[in-house]
Amino acid sequence: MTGRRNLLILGGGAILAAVLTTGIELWVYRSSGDIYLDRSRPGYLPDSDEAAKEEPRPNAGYKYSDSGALDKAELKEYVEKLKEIEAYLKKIGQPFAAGPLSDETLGLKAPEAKETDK
Amino acid sequence: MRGSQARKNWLGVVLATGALVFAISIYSVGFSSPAAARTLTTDELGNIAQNCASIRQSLSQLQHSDSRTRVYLGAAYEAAYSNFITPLNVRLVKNGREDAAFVTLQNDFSIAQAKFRNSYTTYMRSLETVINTDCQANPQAFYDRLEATRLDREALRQASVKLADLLKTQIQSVEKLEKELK
Repeated sequence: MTGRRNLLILGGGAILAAVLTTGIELWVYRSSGDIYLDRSRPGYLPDSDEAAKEEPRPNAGYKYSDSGALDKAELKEYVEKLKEIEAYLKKIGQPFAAGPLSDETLGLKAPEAKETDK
Repeated sequence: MRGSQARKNWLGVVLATGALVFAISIYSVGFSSPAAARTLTTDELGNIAQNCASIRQSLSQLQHSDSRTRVYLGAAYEAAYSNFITPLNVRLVKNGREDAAFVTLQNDFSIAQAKFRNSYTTYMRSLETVINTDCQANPQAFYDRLEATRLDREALRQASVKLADLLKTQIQSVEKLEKELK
């Protein structure tokens, strides 16, 4: 009888501890903002064709060496490679511009208001 | 006497910390409090309530595309910082050519990256609040939150503009350095 009771206490305690620690983890995950940076959460996984559509990332294998004498040719290459990143960023356009949240884009204006605006 | 001096020092530290915390909280409140949104007309409120489902769907799609944009931008900024800006500074130091301008830019870039990350999470949290607001039952509350989200999005846009400017400055500075080398 005592053995069964102890087993139940152990099982219940383990479940309680698991629920508690998972709850704390989820709270930290959400409150730290990591949840918004995580694209592996359900609904945010990259589309299957996203990799194909994506612009190739610039200079995936390039890293300027932090040792050696300063060399003019190397600095020239550095500038060229860094300009590729700059061009890549420009291709993204105007990130987080106001447009997509405007009244017009979201269709928030009443038909009468739209006509008055014209 | 020494004990009294030590207490005074500690008091100074505590007061300075308190002042810093107070200043930071005032600063953050100043940026997080939403601007007063305009009061919508009855027609506008009706329009929001009527199109609530499609508006929320548009916002959800925006949330997904913004998440993608953040990944692209974040990876590019990180590549610029880790593969270009930091190694160049280390190399300059090793060659005895420390340049305060490059060091300042590295620090500014790191701070701007952190600001970009924080602005992004603030904006996403704000956007999620808008999406979760029942615009059919509370169109005015929905609009008020949308206005606050617009401000958060603008802060995020400014953070990305700042990083792009710093990158441009880095390119110009290295071009100048290259010309100086024989």
